[in-house]
Order: sequence, then structure tokens, then C-alpha cells
Amino acid sequence: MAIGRRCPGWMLFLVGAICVLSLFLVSVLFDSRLQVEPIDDGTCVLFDTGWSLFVDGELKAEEMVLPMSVRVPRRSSVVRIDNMLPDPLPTSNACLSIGLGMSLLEVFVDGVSVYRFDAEGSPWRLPFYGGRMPHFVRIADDAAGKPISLVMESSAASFVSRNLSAPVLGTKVSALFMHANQEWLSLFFGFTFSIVGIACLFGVVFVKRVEDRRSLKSFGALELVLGIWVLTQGRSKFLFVRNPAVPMDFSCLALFLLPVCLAGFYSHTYRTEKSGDLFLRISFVFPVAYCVIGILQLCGVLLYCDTLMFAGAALGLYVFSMLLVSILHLARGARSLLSFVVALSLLFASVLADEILLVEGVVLDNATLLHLAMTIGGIVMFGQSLRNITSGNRGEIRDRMLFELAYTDALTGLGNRALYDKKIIELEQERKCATGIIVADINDFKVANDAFGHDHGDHVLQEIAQELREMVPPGVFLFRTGGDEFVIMLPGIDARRLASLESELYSRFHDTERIVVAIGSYLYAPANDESMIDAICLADDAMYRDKAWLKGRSRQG
Amino acid sequence: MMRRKRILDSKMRAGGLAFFQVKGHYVLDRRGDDFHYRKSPTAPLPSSVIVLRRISLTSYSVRILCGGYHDGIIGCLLLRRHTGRREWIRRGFDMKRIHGRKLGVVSVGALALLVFLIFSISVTYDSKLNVEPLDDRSYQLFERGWTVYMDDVLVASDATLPLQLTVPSRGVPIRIVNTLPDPLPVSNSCIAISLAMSTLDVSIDGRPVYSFNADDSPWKLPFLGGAMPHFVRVPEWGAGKEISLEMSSTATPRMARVVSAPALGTKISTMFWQLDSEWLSLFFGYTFFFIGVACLAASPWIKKIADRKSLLWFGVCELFLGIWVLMEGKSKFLFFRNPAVPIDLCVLVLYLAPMCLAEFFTSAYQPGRAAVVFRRISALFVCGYCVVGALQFSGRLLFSDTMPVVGFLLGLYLLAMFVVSSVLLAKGNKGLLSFILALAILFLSAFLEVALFVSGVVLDSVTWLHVSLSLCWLILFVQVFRNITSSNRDLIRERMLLEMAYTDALTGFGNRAAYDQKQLELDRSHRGAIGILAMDMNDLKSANDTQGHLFGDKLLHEFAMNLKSLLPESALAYRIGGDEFIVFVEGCDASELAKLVDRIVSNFAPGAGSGYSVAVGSSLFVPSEGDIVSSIRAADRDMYACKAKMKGDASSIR
Repeated sequence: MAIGRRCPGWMLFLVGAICVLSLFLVSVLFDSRLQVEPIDDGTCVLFDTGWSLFVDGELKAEEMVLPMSVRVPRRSSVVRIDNMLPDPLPTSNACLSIGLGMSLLEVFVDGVSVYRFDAEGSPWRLPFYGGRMPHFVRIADDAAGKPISLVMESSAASFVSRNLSAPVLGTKVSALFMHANQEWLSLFFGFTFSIVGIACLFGVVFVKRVEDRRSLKSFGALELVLGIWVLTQGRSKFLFVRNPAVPMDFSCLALFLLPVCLAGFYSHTYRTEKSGDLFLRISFVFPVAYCVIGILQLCGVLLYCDTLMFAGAALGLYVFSMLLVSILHLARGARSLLSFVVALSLLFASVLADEILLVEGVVLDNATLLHLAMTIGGIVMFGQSLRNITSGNRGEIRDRMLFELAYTDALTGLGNRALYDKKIIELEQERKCATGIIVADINDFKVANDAFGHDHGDHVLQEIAQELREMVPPGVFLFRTGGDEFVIMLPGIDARRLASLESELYSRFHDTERIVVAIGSYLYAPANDESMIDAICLADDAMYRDKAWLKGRSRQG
Repeated sequence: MMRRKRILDSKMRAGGLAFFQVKGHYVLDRRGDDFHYRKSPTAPLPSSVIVLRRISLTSYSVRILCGGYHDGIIGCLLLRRHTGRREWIRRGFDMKRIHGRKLGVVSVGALALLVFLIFSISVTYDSKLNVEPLDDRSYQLFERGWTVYMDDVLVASDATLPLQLTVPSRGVPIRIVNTLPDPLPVSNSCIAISLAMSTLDVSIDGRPVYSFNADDSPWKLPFLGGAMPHFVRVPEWGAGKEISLEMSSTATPRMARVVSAPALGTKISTMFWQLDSEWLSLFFGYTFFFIGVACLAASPWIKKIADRKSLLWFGVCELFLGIWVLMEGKSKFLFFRNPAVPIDLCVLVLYLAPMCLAEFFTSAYQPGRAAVVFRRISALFVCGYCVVGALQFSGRLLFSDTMPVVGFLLGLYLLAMFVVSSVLLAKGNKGLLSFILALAILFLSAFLEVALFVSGVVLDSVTWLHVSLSLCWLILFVQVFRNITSSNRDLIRERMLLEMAYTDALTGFGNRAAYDQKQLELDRSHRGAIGILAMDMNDLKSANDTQGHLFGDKLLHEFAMNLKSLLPESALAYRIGGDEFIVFVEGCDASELAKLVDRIVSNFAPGAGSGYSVAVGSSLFVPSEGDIVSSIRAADRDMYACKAKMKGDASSIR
């Protein structure tokens, strides 16, 4: 019957879930058919053929197809590409969109300058145009069929080949979507990394052990740095900020701080001793280099972007050596490093791919795979960090339990002899307040034990312990110091309250049928210049007097 | 000393518990976080359990756990896995917190400061770079001089938008007419108008240029989705001509229609005008969504069912909230243009929200009977979803018509929850404080949203609302987290108590109970050969009697530690009586076993200087040839033979 009643509830839930789901699916199905005009009207055409290339005014190539890489002799070499605008233009009010990295741009239509981007406003000694950014140049309707020329002057070092991508001709909205569309995922990946990083940095507050805290902190910093890198490298950022130079600054900082975060995570999470220490030390070279390059940039000798390739290569090497060392440790038996090796090989593979593509001059349109590798690596490392935290937690509880076990009398749950000894020393050293001492001893416990068995004796001891616990005020220490001996220490008590407690104990334990307990008390006052041991002896004496009196009474009775 | 070093070495490789002998007196001082050991001629060693903990790369901390033992007695050293072994052993007891060749705090701080400084300088310089903005800000609001017709009846002339109209019934067409400026503000301009649940037909000079209606949606009542911006290209010839916008809404007639002012400009600028205030919603929504997914993904790892449920439902709540925020914001239109599907999601989330909240409430706070009531009521919302869905099929009602009512009911539901949990809190359920706090914030924000929705105000930016939502979820998450950690601790404690019940405290070997269990297990299911060693310490009883039990304990201990270093990793050792030990060595053959026995006997021979001797017996248990009990008996007999021989040797020497 009970099953019969429970079953419908469970079934009801299932039926409800199916109802809701099917209704939802039907409405989505219907509604997804609604026809809406897209924002992007798709009028873009690639404007990639028929360009002629001039370097420093000298004709280098004709009828060439973009994209292409151009080697230039000097940093300030001027690259110009010419072409004829189509007639008619693909749309009215068209817009020419060009993605350019670290370069000045001036656009001439029919010999008239229509657009200019230079480092105006930036007071660097070497002009810095920031990373790759899309430029949008309006082309007037009457410009159809006229010659167009694009003049570029890069601020990147001359040995970096210039990569000229193909411009796009269409409405501004469609050009914008063409630039940003492949980058949406990067936006979300970057944002996700950043959230995870920030969340971990906040979560550090809740972690107790120093090592775990450091490991989580390094992990958070690592994720944050990766997030900043991904966010500032993607193109979709231009929806929010148009300045291409500031994100570049963030990218540089992230690149130079990445090794520190990685090494911090490695050494704090895996405890690889010497190698972790070494990597941490080496990693500090990167921020030092950041400072040196920054000063050079201030003096106008060098730009960060010039060093980006070297820094990337150094980072690659660093990560690679870390990978090798951890594989070595793994082979020697440090099992936990497996997660690091997996994560690092993923990260390394992705960084390497990034680097190779950068050197090759290929700009990744879509770095989704790379970011996926980073995500998986991050999850693997986070798992390790979490495992450490939980096992550390376990260790801490174990310590605390050992402590409890070592200082607790197993039978009664009161403090044991060891704790009693410790407390005496503590109270004597503190010498702060008067302490009441009550000593209690069970009369004829040995006799009862022999007569009724040990189980009975244990039961009696537990009962007394429980009653004592209930009777004494809070903040009082209870010990079982010997077989049938109990000691109560009452710090901060006065003579009157001690006496009242004692009389309470008397009335409870003196006139019972079964158990009779002898009680003695003494108030230990540090001001009297006596030792704690003496005080306990005096309490003991009082107890023995009580015991003798009790014995006399029972003999009379 | 050499022996101790060996023990420590072997123990530290394995990690865990190690015992050692303390010689001399030591005092532990604590100054702040630092511990200092100093050798003292008089003071007793205050403790016997020491925790050596590695704080960082090169520093350690020492913690004394329990005391009571005195000179020359066993100490117990707890070591973490992979602690810096060599340094520690060389330092012996002279343990301080070692500040080795660590990178100083000062130099790291200075570097950080320098990096920060240089970064700030570069950002300052680079932020001055002049860049043409993406949005050319060429739009202007086209708000004055509109003539408004409802059902072809003139309602207002020369009106200024936005205008609120009360419509008599669903589907009544509203037409607003104006004259386009001449010249147009920019060439190739675009008119952008934001409309909710409404068809739109735009004609210029009588020629239709744009139409949005529910052509393909086969609902009986056409459903046009939530608020969406329409972008209509205005041709060049339209300058100075008459423009007419005809709208017919699918929302219920009870709701007042707000006709907002269109904007005229380039498409880019109008697009940014629509979306600019909504970027934050995108990120808030995504954050909620992501956290929800993360919690859902993490919940299978939680061991306790109640905790797992609470994390799961927390994740679902968060996920739903994320979906709501993402789908209500306008920036979603960058990714997909269909306005109806997001509204479907919103409706689902709204109707299911009470259930998720009730489940979370139940699993995280255990409020008793109150939870049942709330769960039942929340089921009504789910039923409501189904009923309204069926009505939408039959063409009577639209989901969006019920939104204000449902929002209001949800508000009531939350209020009831708030009141009930306040009452429970007053009755003594302390844990509910966090829920009440969170609910108060949530309630406030939800109430506000509903109030604004009912009064027809569309919020441009709900940032502060989202901030309060984030805050409230943070509070709830902390509660969930606290539950998980506390029950995790209980779980670990239980497991450790269990472990301790099967461990002999003195030697760290298995105890009699563990031995019995293992014996049963081997008898039942083991297939490979097992080497069995039986051992007995000679003269332990006399040592106990003459030199005290503590000395006897010490001997047992020393023996156990030495034995452990001799045994292979896979061996299982048990102390089954006062001075009796049994060891099982799995995967062992006769010759290996003989070697092992030789090694043990020679190590603990009477003349080896350890102060005690050990008799060892062995037998090989092969499952196909006999049972384990008889094999153990054989080992025992072997051991007694060995013992007799040792005694005989001793007497013959004498």
C-alpha cells in the first residue's frame, strides 16, 4: 500500500517533466520559424585581387592577391598598396574595412586623403599603434572606379614581416560582423577564464592551510592572466573599446606574468622541492624583463611588441623545460604530477601552435581549439588543487583527532592525566587568577570492582563523570587522574562560590546508597606564593580527611 | 642515530606516521608563528606527538600535539608526504622555522611595484591614442510631430513620442505618421524602432519598405516575441516624404502599449544606441549561467546526498537566472535575431523558478513541513505552464499575456517563503538567516522588476538589480559551501574513526579485529600464494615486569618500526596479541619467503644489541593445497620451534 501511494508521486514528476519539456520544445520549434531580417545584411565582398605593392616608393609587385607577407628593410619603411575601386560599388554608402597590426594608415581615394590613423595623442618616443585592429573607412558613392591607395608605416621592428590582409568592401555593419563574428567564442572563453580566476582568488579566503591557499591563489592568478590574454587578443573587444594599444599593454603584462603564476602553481601544488624552487626563481626573470623593456620603451629604444616574439619563445622554452622536468619526476614516481603533465602538454601544445602561427605571420581567425585546450588544462589543474585542499583538510582533522585522543580519557570523556599535568604547568605559569581545586575519590571502588566486575566499575565511573559535568559551571576543567580519582579545576572562582559548589557535591555524593565519594577542596591563590602542586596536595589532604570521616560514619552506621 | 635516520628515511618516503626515540630534554617555545626547540638540561619533553609541517618551499613549522611522556620514551612524529627530508634529519632536533634561501618578501614586493608602475605608465600613455570610434554617433531621436491613428481613427496629432496608448482589443492596428526630414541627417540612413510583440509595416510615400509579421509562425494567435529593435533602411529619395509605421500588437489588450520614439541615423549608430546600455546584462547573464553550469557539473562529486541536492538545485537556480538575464537583455540580438525563442526560454524559467527555489530551500535548510507546502505550491506553477501552453495551442492565450500575472504570483510566493522562513528563524532555525537575507534582496529586486514591468517602464540598464542578485546568490552559495564542508568533515571523521578502530595505536599495524577480517577475506577469495610470517618477541613479559610497561611499549615500538623497514611494501602486518605478530606477504614464493625470514631473524638475533630477540616462523599458503587457518597454524608451529631453538642456544651459551 505504501508503495502504491509513493509510486504516483514519482510518476507524476516524470509526467510533469515530459509535459513541460514537450511544450517547451514545441514552442521553440514554432517560434524558431519566425522570419526576422538579420542585422548583418551580408553585403560584404573581399577586395583582394589586383593590388600593386610599393615599398619606400619603389614598385615591388603588381597584380598581387592579398593576404601576403612583406619584408621591409627598416622599422620606418613605408608600404603602399594601390588598386582601383570597383564600379559600381557593392552597396551605396560603402565602407572599406582593413585589419592592420601596429601600423599607421592613411587612405587616399583619387589622390585625396579620406582617412588617417597615426599615433596622435600618444607621447611615446617611438610611436605605438597597438595590436591588430580593424579600420573602417567610408567610401563616398562617387568614388566608384577611382584609384585607391593605402599607405602604411609600421611601428613594429623591421625584422617582423608585415602581414597585409585583404580589405573588405561593404556596409559598415556587415564589415563589423565579418570582423567580429569569428571571435565571439574568444570573448566568452576569455570572460570565463577571468571569472574563474577572480572566483578562485576570492575563494582563497576560505582555505585554511597556507600551502593550499597559495596553490589556489596561483591558480586563480593563472586563470586571470590567461583570461586577460584571450580577451585582449581577440577582435571582439573592439565592440567595447576602440583603442588598440591599451589591450596590447594588458596582453604584454599577461605574457610576462604567466611564468610566475605557472611556477607558483607548480611549486605550491605539487611540492616538487628543488625543481619548483628553481622554476619559481627563473620565472622572476620575466617580470624583471618586463620592467627593463618598459624602461627601454620609455627611452624610445624598443617597443614591447618588438619583444613579443622573443618573450613568447622564451615562455615556450620555459614551459617546455617545466614539462620535461615534471615528466622526469613523474617517471621517478611522483604520481600526482600526472595532472600537471597533462595540463601542461595541452597548454604547451596550444602556446606552441600560437607561437608558430605568429612567426609564420598567420593571424588566427579563430582560436577556439586553443582556448578549448586551455580550458581542459585549467580543469585538470583545478582538480589537482581541489584534491590537495580536501586531503589537507583530512590531515588537519586527523591531527585534531589525535590531539583529542591523546588528551582524553577514553572511558569518561574527561581530560586524562597528560592533560592534567599540562594544565598544572599552564596555570602555574600564568599565575593570573585564583583557582579552585576539588579532588574527588570514590570510596571502596576497588572492593566494588572486585565484587561486581569491571563492567560495573566502568559504568559507575561514567555515571560520576556525567554528573560532575552537569554540576560544574562552564569554563571548568575536569580530569580523571587515576583509577577512581577525579580533579576539578575552577579558574577565576572565589572562596564563597567554591564552598557552595563543594556543599552541593557533598549533598549529592555523601548520602547515597550506592556510591560514596570523598571530596576535598582548596583555593589556590597565586598571590600567596605557593605552588600549584602544594595546593593540590592540600586539596588531597582535605579529601583524605573527608574519606576518614566517611569511613568513621559508615562504621558507626 | 643511524637507525633512526633509516627509519625516518623510509617512513618519509611513504608519508604518514613515523615513530622515533627522543633522547635528552627539549623545550618548545612559541613566538608568534615561530616554534623554537631548545635543548634544556632540566625541563621534560613536553610532548610526544610532533607535527612537522612544511609551510612553504623552505620553511617548516612544528606543532606539539600531545604530551605526558618523559625522558627516553617514544615520541611520535607525524610527517607530511614529501617533506624536505635531508635538511630536517641533519638538523635533528634543532628545529626552527628555517628561513633558507627564499626570495625575500621585500624584493618580490619591489618587483611587483615596479611592474605595476611601468604598466600604469604604458596604460596612461596608450589611453591617449586617438582612435575613430566605431559608433559615429550620427543618430538623432525622431520624436516630434507624429500623428497617431488607432483603427484608422485619429487619436492625436503633433504628438511627441514615447506615448502610452490604451488599446480596446488585441490586434487593433496603430498607425503613426510623420514627414521625414529633408535632407536626411546622413546618407544611407536607417530608422530604428524598438517594439514588443507587435507586427510592423513601414511605408514611405505610400510604398512599403519593411514588413515584420508572424508569417511563418503557425500559432493560432500570432506570436512576435519580446522587445526587439527593428532597423529599416531609409532610401535617399525618401527625404521630405511621408513615413507611416503601422503596428498591430499580439499582447493582451489590457496592457497599455508604449510607442517609443524611433531614432534616425546610420545603422551602426542606431545599433549601438540600442545595445550600449545592455552590455553589462550580457556579462552578468553569462556569469550567472556559467556559475550555474559549473555548480551542476561539480555536484556529482559531492558525497552526501543532501549536499549534492542543494548544490544541484543551487546550480539550476543560478542557471535559470542566467538564462533570464541573458534572454531579457537586448544584446542577445547581436548573436541571434529571432525575438520569440528567447521569450520561450524566459517563460519556461519563470514558471520553473518556484520549483527550483523550493527544492533548494528543502535540501539546503531542512525546514521540515514548511518545505512540503512550498514544493506543492511550486508544482502548481509547473502545471500552470502546461495549461497555458495548451491554451496557446488552441489560440486563446499567449504565454506572454500571463507574464505579469505569473511575475506577481512569483512575488507572492517569495514573500510567503520569506515570512515562513522568518517564523522558522524566530523559532530557532539559525541557518535560515542567510536564506532570509538573500531572499530579502532577491524579493526586493524581483518585486521592483515586476512593478516596473506592470507599470510599462522598460529598464534601460538593470545593472544594480543584477548586482543585488549576485550578492544574494553569493550569500546562498556561502551557505551551501558551509554545509558541504561541515558534512565533509563529519564524513572524514567517521572514516578515520573506522580506520583507527582497526589500527593498533602503539605500532601502527593492524589490530586483532583487522587480522580476523583479513583472514576471513583471504580464506574466501584469494587465489595467489601468500607468505605467512608468525613472530613473537622473546622475554617481553620479563622486560615489562622488571623495567615497567612504558619500557615494554618502547621495545614493541622499536621492533615494529624496524620490522616495517625490513618488510616489502605490499606486506600486511598485524599485532594480534601482546607480543605476537602476523604478517601476510602477497605474491611471494618459497625462496623469497626464506630470505625474508633470514633477514628478520638475523636482524633481531639475541646478540644484535637491540635488547630483545624475536622468534620467527613461516609458511606458504597456496589456496589449491590447503586452507589459511592450517597455514597460519603451521607458521605458528614453526615459530615455536624457532623459539625453543633460541632458548636452547641461550642456555647452551650460558
